Amino acid sequence: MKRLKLEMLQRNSGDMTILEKSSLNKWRGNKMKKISACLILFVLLLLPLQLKAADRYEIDPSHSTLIFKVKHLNTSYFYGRFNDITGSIVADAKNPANSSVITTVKTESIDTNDEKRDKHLRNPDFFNASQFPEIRFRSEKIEQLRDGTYMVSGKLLLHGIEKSLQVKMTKTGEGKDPWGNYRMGLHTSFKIKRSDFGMKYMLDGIGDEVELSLGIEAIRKES
Amino acid sequence: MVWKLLLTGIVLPAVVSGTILLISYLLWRRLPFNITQAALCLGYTAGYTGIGGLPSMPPADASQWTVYAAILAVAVSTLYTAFSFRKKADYILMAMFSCGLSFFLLRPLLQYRWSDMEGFFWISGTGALIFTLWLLVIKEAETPGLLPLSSAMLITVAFSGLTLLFSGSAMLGQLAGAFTAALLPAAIAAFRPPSGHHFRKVMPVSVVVVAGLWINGYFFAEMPVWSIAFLLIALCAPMFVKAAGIHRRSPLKQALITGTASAIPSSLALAIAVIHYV
Repeated sequence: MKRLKLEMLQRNSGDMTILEKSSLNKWRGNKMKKISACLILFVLLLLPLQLKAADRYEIDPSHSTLIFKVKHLNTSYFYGRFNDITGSIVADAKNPANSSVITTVKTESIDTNDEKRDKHLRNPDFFNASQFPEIRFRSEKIEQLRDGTYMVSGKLLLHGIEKSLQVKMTKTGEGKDPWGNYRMGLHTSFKIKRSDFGMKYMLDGIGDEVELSLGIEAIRKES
Repeated sequence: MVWKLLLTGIVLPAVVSGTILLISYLLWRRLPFNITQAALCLGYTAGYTGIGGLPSMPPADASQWTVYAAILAVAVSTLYTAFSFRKKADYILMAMFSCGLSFFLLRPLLQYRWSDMEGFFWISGTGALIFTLWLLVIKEAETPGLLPLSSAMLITVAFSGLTLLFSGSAMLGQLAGAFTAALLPAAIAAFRPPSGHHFRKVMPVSVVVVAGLWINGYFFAEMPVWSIAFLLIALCAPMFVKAAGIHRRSPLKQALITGTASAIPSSLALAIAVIHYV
């Protein structure tokens, strides 16, 4: 093929026969195809490396907790929790800006150690669980502040109203569990005003400011 | 805290509604056009704002739809009064309003819980129930004496509030209380003929608010279905009273007898909710 190419180049193009021209085009076409295939292969080989840089985790609901703290009758702090937390985390250690967090909490899973009160909290007076079955946080921007501490900005959907929220999130630990799964722990604590989310009932009796603590344990998913 | 709740949930709606009616009466010596239902609507809106804050636009939850439905009911019936439509158009408009209200109230369940088929079934069924309630109340409002209707309506709405309080939602109960308070001046004015005829005008607002609160109570709190059934029977009390020939008695006696006839099924509705709660 190389010899043919050399002969072709030495000749004046005007002297080339139709057969010779078609052979040259075919050779050029084959070469382009080979280069393209090599490039695609190269990109495909690099892709897993790129994906490997950002690990995907699934939140472990049985080891994750969302606790809320609110003032009752302007006297004491009252605590409650949500039992059903799901979601996923994409963690890019090299480039935290590529990371993301999505957490969904089932409103129905509220637990204050009193079934009657839980029913009341699920009703239209407070969380209105039938109309707003989910509390959701979706990150939009993650910045690393220092090692293991991140500033997570995103949107919090509560009681059907979505508001911007910025929280400081700390990586509390990571490592392999006895079953060989790789786990990572995160924690954040922040305050919101329930009236900002349309929960305006009984603001005198039950405080407007609610402090939330979220502890997440997530399991890495092998791709 | 209790005083604030009473002030915003009971006194405020009664004062707003009563002041508008009083000013209208002093100005025109009667209660013209849709002033009565506008007063009722504004009284309820003031009560809602006092209890649950100013409703957002678009409505954020189903309870807020009761406020917007009341405002819309006033607007539509004012337009309806301005233009004379045929009787058939009246029913079509009522049916459309009933189905629309049912759809907007139950939309979250269609979004999160029901299949399209289930949603169609529940929304059309609930729409039909609102329409039936509307027809019933309009039929009762056509009777010459409006006192039985005003007392039955007042008793039913007040007991609806108490029933809702025991159905897991204090807010819905208070809203029904606010509506009762807003309705009170119009019901009292019904004792003074001929201004008593104004009470017919409160029907569209009353139907959409009462039905809206019952639907909220049943679907989003724990209002028992039998409580709703007995409250519906309580609203039919003027029909029973008319059938018994009591409408020939003095206005006060009429009101007392109808009120009692309405209070019996209403009490049963409350008792069921209390048993369910305990």
